Amino acid sequence: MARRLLLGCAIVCGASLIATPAYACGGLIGPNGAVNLARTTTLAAYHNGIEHYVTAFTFTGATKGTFGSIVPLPGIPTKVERGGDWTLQRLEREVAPPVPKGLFLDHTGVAFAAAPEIILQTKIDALDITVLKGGAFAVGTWAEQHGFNLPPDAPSVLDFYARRSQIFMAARFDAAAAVKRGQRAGDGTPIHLTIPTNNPWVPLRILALGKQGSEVIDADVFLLTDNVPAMLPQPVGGRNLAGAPLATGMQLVRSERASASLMQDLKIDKGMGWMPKSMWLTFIRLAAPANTLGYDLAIDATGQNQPSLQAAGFPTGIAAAAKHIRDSLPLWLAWTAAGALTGGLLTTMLRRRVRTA
Amino acid sequence: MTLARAVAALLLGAALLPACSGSPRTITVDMRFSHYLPIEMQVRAGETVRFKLVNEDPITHEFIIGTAAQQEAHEVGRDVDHNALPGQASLAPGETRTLSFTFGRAGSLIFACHRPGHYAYGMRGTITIAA
Repeated sequence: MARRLLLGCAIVCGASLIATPAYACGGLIGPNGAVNLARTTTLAAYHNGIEHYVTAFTFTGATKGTFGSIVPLPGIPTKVERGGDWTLQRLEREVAPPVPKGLFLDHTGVAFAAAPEIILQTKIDALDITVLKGGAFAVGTWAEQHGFNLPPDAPSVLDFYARRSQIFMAARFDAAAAVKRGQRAGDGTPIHLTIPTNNPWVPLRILALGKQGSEVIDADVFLLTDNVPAMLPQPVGGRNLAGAPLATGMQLVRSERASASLMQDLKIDKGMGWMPKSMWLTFIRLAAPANTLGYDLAIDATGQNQPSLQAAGFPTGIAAAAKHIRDSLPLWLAWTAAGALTGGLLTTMLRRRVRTA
Repeated sequence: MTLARAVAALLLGAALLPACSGSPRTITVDMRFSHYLPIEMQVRAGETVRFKLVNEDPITHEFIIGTAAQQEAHEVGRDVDHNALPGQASLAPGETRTLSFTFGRAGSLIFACHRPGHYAYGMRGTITIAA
């Protein structure tokens, strides 16, 4: 217990030294339909056929009205509970260790379906959580009727997900309850979902909900798996799966066996006792314009290197997936890539000339 | 009268028939994924058209006919329900509604939805009014 408290304090203090991200997940919807998200942090951990999906919802500081988030899920969760206090912060600290101040000068930092089936309802802090089962129309209508002001792209985004899994989680922040609880703007409520599924996946397209085309979506995605995961689409810097498309907006930052200290720190957080002794840590940083984020992250954690096209949002085949990603690239990005390639070729040629001279 | 002239007269008659007959022409407009289908329509000056508006989306949409200037005014307006106004309709999720509208002189008009963000998202179309 003492160690838990000490670790909690250490992580909270440590987290305050690094650039603190604003945690949230899913498509966040404000009272007037406008939403601002700085960065999303998510952990998808997978062990023994169970996905542990941990994310956090940030209280924006609004003192009235309701606002919330819709998150597509790969299956029906057996448990939705308050997440541990430091899991996400500890993962962030693992990949961006705090820098003592003063050490460096630089401190930058339709179908008209019936009402959806209500699978589960719970209240966690100031969040009203409802897990729904239904098609895009049923879930969207339910959301509208329950105070979610859906943006114009919501019908197509919900349809994109409902074709694969008709399970959604709607999380609604009760501003009055948050104020009553003494929550301040920026305070996050971590949520931990336990979902039995064949393989984990991370919904990414939902993050672009309601965003302008050129607006960059930032997210930190952490995976903890028994084996080195194969991913689709592939992040830049990842293993090369034959023919699999590369998502230029995703960067593989870490791929390594999780350190013993990280495993120990996570294991003693609330709800994380299921963790085995050793797992593989993958950290992906997403920074993609909203209009290029037409995919999710499919993961094969079994070691068979066969991430599902369907889970990535490309049910029509790998060629279609590659074409989709290619077509969605903004022109400036294509020119930048072409420029970098040309620059690289010129540098190589010049070096050869120098050597021969 | 040559055969060609006879055919031309028949075609012209057929084209004018909807405008002159008692029952107005019906055009079905689907609203799906926050876009209209069709996005372009042709009518004749003085013609009364019965629009059958079908909202297939789980969110509220509008169908508002007007000039570009009128559309800009609606974009900053605060009216939530347009159903009592001529050439305007608000549709709840899944709702189907009919709207009759008589077009004036030749030119072009825009039909659009002004729910927050919908106009910018591309929820608009054009009606060409032939003389």
